[in-house]
Amino acid sequence: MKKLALVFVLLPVIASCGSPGEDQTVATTGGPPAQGGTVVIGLLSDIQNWNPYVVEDLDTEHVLALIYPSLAIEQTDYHRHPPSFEPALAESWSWSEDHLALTLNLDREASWADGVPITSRDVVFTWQVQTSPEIDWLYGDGKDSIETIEAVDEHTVLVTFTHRYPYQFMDLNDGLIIPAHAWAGIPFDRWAETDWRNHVLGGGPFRLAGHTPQQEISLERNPHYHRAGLPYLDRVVFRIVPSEQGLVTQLLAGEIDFVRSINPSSVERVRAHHDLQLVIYDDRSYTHVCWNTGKPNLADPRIRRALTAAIDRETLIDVVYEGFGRLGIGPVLSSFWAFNRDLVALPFDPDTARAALAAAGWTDTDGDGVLDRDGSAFVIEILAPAENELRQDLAILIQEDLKRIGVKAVPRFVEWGTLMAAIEDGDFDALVNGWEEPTQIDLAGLWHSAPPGEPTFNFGRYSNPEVDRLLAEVDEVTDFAEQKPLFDRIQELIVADQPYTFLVENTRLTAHNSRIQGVEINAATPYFNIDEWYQMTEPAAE
Amino acid sequence: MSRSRRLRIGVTGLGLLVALCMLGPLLLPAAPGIDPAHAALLPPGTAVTEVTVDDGRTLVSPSVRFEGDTVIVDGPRRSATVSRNEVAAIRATRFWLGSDRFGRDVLAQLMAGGRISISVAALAVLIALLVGTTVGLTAATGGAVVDAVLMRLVDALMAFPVLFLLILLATLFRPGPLVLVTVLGMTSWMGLARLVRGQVLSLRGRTFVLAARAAGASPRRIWRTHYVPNLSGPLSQDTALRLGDLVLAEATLSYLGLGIPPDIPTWGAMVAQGHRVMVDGWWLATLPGFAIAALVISLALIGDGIQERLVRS
Repeated sequence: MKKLALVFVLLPVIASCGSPGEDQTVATTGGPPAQGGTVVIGLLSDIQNWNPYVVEDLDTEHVLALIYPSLAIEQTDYHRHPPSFEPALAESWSWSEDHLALTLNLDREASWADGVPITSRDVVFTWQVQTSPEIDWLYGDGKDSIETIEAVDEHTVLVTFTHRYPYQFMDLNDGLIIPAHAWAGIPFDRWAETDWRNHVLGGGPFRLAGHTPQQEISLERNPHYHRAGLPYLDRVVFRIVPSEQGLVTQLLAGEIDFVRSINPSSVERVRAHHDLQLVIYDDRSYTHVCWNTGKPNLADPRIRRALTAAIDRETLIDVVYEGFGRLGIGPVLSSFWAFNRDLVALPFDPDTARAALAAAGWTDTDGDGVLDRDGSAFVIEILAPAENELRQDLAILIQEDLKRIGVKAVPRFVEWGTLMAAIEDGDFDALVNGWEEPTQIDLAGLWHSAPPGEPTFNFGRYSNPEVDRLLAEVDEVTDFAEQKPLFDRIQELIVADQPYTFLVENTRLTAHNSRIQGVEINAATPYFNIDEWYQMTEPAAE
Repeated sequence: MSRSRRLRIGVTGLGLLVALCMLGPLLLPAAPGIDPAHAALLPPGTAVTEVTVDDGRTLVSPSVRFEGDTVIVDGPRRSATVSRNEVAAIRATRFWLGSDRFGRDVLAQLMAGGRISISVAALAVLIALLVGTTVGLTAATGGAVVDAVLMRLVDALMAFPVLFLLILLATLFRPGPLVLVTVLGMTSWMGLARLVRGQVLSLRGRTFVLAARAAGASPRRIWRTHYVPNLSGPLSQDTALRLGDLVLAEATLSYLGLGIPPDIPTWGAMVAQGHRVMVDGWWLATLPGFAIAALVISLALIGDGIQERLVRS
């Protein structure tokens, strides 16, 4: 999935502990699961749309995943290998000998919330929607390698792929299944302007009960959910509180049960509260400085390595993330299976940085404290989004670090539109940015000098012919074990070139009330096993 | 409080603030170096030791220990250890007004920020004075058509929401002191233009002006002896008050991130940065807030005092 899911992490995503390779899942257990109860989940912003295919917002998708069903559930084992899948709507599946055809057997008991059975027709319809040029779904290109999806019978679906590669199942599974009998009548060219609130019909664990815009989304148990006896909860309420401080205050007051991300500054208060549990785990995101390699000052990898060596990243993590975070190393997070374990974070070493700059001809000839070469001073502008305070803090600290080696960095905070325009025009020197790394390892979108036919996220115009060649080779390989050595080499090259200074691998801090039991928290999806969450029953008072 | 006392207090306050910002760096010992890891969020008055290391680093902490051949600089999360022979200098110093989240000295920032905040407001008010007086005089003396056109223009500009205009301009141009001065100056001359025009029109019909004209005084002499002295009072009062408004406008813009670039600590930007950590560092937002208030109040007192002098004379 998700070439495009390399979304900017705009929210103040926090930072990390735990060691690589370890499962970041924490389950809480109390008494036996009991039916009933309500969980209130805090959200920073309201849902954008009720149709998962006209949405470009991750938070919205996460909420919709409670309403609409999926074929299978991606597991959290991406630390060890590409993620495996557990059955959901697709009860079982089998591959053809050549691994180009996949037969899915749908759960015969599954039905939509209105009682109509979920059939092959819905799966085929969903695929038509996903690939429709009129709808132009954000992740549609993930379906490019699917040749056809056919209904063999009511509950059997045959999928054929154009070629064999490691993420065939993941690409197929990407996207929620939608009801053909209810939605096929609405022409695709009218989907963008349709008010989908009146058409919400899912088959997931919950169904829509009420929505007060900018205040509350109320979901109730879907009695037709295909997993018998589940969900345990009667009701899930998403309460919209537009600030992290507000969310934490309501969490402390017991008005909200679950907040997916709290800031490091709130940790002490949450820890001190004995009804609350704090779960600290490696997130799938990292924060970095993207250097514009198209600028003459920054074109030389030696210079970029010197800049990285001059930035005291441990102190950045201490000061900005209050110690929650792990030193960034390279383009693959250290919690991922594809990470090259031979790599280590480049050390903080201002002396080496100064020497490298001097070797490249940068010296302070006029004694003003700023290095110069051929009459021009080493001045760079560091952009950060005005909406993101953490990144602004990083920019300010980086400015101080670079000043010590004689590089004048000027932070500039601009609103989102201006930032995007500057990026598109290549009109920037450095950018403090963050990426959420999808569980499907896709390095081409960020590091290929010119990914064919795709929008590029290679903002810094990084170009290394060997990396390009290896990226092309990765695409040719059908097995992930064969991909690993290629990925390892690509990471080595990128770390050596430092097109980014990898600042920090973020940690996420999730807090929830301990009356909610059975909660499995991981970086895969925020409400991973919500159908198995249950409310702790009060001990019977005799 | 008598009015003349207000003027005195206002002038003293303004003088002290300006002197502190302009001369402070010359009189006070150098501020402690910047060490975010060990000296962040120290309250006002904290005594610290500053260790300068050969590789150019500066370590600052309230707790610096010497053990054998090593110097240990303690911080809230981590201690730094340096060998004695790597140390270039050690000195004891103090964060008189505390340090911010990044270990920067608040007093040094307040002085640097004050220089910017006051200069920006002063230059902007100069622009406003220049444009406002010119337009006002032209309108008052240029005939009915010119007057009507100029005054409608002033009305139109005054009706336009200034903050919106400021935000628009600040997005179009790369924020910086020059843009800020121009924008603030160009959006605050309208009131002055009206004031000047009104004054001139009312003076023109006054008996002493008519008498001077009847006595054959040249226009230049009438201007010098009657218009200028009579205009200067209201103008200086208005300027003092306007300067206060401009300090606040600059603070607002910097608070919104649209003013001076973030690496220059203006008072408004300091309040913006500081209010995020009110609980852990009350001094960060309150001290620059007090500075803004003191400056604006001093200017208001001056304006008030000038008005009193005018009435009396």
